[in-house]
Amino acid sequence: MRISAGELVPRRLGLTPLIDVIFLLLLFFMLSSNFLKFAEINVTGAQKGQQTTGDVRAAVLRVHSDGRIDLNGTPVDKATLIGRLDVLSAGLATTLAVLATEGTNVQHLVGVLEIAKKSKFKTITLVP
Amino acid sequence: MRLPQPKPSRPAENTVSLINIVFLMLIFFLLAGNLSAPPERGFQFPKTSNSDASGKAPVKAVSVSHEGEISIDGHKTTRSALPGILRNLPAARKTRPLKLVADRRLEAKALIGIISVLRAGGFEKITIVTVRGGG
Repeated sequence: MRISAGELVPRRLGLTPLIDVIFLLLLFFMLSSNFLKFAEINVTGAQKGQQTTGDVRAAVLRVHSDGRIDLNGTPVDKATLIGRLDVLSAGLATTLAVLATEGTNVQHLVGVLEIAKKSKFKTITLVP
Repeated sequence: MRLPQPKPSRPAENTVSLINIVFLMLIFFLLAGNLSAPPERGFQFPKTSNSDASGKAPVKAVSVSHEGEISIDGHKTTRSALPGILRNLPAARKTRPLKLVADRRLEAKALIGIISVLRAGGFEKITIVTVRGGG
């Protein structure tokens, strides 16, 4: 006996699975993405093997643990630092040596380096 | 005579507008956020106001926690083992800029020491990764 197959009714495509997947994707991207804006500070300084040939006159910038800064032994504040650095680089100094004293954290150092990068000094060296 | 009001039949809720908004949010998060795992829990990037901006999240970096623990490509090492590890890295890796991710509470002297070890290990360009603004 032949049984006729029932007539095929074209069904509307369900939207629910689509929404499910999109919701999951949305949730994943919301939770796993961050909105940090990254930046970089070059700390390479002078090239290797390029040191102490002829006269290298360095200005010494010392960063203290409480955020104080000494430039060539005299205290300066962050606001006037860039002006003082430009005066020195226009004079005899060619490199800027940055020292950190005991207890200074990276945030202080990075803050000073950022200002020093804006000055006219071409080479900035971190001194251990 | 008062007849009971016929119940107003609720129109079928339109899911298309919902999908539109969810789609828009999805695209926003895809484009605006960057997908990168932070180095570890409790890590704090140093902050800068404006620097040489790259905007890209650091991948394949050397990171130093605030207690001075060094990890290179996700493997924890110590300061004394670092020169040996750097010696085994391929030379092509060392010509590319190295991103150094250091916690902002780390002692600056320790960081400068690590930078000098990395430079002695052959890395030509080293940058410290910072976060702009109040991250």
